[in-house]
Amino acid sequence: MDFEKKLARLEEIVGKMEGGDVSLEDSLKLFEEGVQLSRTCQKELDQAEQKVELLLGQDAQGQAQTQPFKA
Amino acid sequence: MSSKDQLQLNQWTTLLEPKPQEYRKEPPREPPPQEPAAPPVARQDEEPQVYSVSDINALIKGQLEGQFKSIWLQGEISNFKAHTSGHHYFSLKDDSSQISAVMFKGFNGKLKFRPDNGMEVLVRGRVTVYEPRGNYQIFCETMEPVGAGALQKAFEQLKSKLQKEGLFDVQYKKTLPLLPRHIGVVTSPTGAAIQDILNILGRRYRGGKITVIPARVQGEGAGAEVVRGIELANRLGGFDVLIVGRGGGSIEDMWCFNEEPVARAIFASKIPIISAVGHEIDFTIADFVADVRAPTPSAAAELVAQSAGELSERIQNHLRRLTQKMQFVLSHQQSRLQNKMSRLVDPQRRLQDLAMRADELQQRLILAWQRQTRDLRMQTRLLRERLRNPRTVVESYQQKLMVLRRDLQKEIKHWREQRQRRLVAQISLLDSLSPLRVVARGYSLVFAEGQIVKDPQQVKENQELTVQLAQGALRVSVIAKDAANIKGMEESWTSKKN
Repeated sequence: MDFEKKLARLEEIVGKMEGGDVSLEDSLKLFEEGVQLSRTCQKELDQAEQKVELLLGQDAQGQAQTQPFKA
Repeated sequence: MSSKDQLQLNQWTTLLEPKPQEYRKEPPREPPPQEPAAPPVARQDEEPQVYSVSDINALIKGQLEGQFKSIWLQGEISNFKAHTSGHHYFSLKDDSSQISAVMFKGFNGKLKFRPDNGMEVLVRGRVTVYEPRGNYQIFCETMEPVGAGALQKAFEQLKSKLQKEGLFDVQYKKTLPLLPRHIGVVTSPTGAAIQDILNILGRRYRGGKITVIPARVQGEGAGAEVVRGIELANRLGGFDVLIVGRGGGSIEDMWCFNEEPVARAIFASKIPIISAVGHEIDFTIADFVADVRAPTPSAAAELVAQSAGELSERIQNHLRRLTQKMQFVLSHQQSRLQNKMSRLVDPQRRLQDLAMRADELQQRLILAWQRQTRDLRMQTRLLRERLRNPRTVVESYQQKLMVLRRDLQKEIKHWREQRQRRLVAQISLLDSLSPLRVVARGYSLVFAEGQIVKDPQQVKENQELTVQLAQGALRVSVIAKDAANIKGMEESWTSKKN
């Protein structure tokens, strides 16, 4: 599941929880899933890796040819 | 992009591509003609030569057209008329003078803008003379707008055209991804824009990969390179967002972002595009077509970074709300559970109560039973006793009788003694009061016919009376009655004694 889907699911869960009418069992399941989702989403946000490349062109296979870029 | 659009694009590309530099305020490559030489009019010293109108017009035509075969001329368009034939007729003027001008269909069809009144233009052409009317005009072959006003005109024209086509419509705006993982930047790798962007993203958003897609953003062919960059990014795929732009500069520097092919490439892009051209005040056609317009390249980077920051906040907010809700649900359910549990305990307690009550009743029943039996037993014993010993009863009555008898005897004795005592007392009293005692002391009692005489009136003369004395009685008769007092009686009594 990509980030946006995860976020959408998280929002859905919060909406369900706040909408009430959820059994305790379901609440616990939703809560667990929600916490899990918010953790993974936050983790994705916090990824500290940043790569900057310069696009040189397209190779014969249609793949990008790049080289590291330093402004 | 439709085939029609493509066609239009190609058409416009070819129209726009040739010489963008010529838009700029540069001196014309061919200098204007020098001071015109003295007209080579035939001079007749002796006799004035008389020309026919036709002759002179033909001569002038030859002279003028030979002299001004190819000139550059700058002026403001006025009296512009687009004839139905497709030819354009107008005047070019400056502050103090004007010249007629014509631009035929074959030439004006190549223009990338529509000439209009008030527009400052630079034309290249030749001077022609229309002999039938003796008019001359400049026959324009090329025309270029001059100055910012003219560029503005071109800008407005393209803007309104694309707007009519719907390229700026909100419905076509793609939303930016929440979390762009791969950011493409179509700009010059050596420009200020890429530095600003990398600077901001490096500081505020380290979550993505950035690919610089090199394109010249200034000068001839810049527009085409920007188009190629956008198309390449779309072909390669994998980009979440494209930032297309450059740093600030003159309107001419930034002109490629006002070119139609660039606008159409942005519109056709499947990847959401943030335009980031120049400074805040600079608006380009690209800004209108782009999905989001950032005022500057830095602002474009901040948009991307900001969305990541906002996302983080959003996620934390969701997490907070989830936790709060869960706590609420838990405490709510817990209180419900406690409520239910307390109600579950109830019957048990009721049972206990009932058991206690049963015990109590049992106890009372036992006690009552015991009391009852004891009473009954006692009663029975009494009854039995009474039934078993009649002799005792008789004895008891005998005893009672005896007692009573004794009491009675005692009582009788007492009564008799008491009466005896009283009698003696009475006798004694009586004795003390007896007239006999008085008589014994010397007194006499006179009776008349059994009645004591206390008054002479009671008796008659000669009546026989009885006088009782202590030692006997006298029978006497009344001689006379005397109402004497006790003295006389005393005397009488004394005499008798004697």
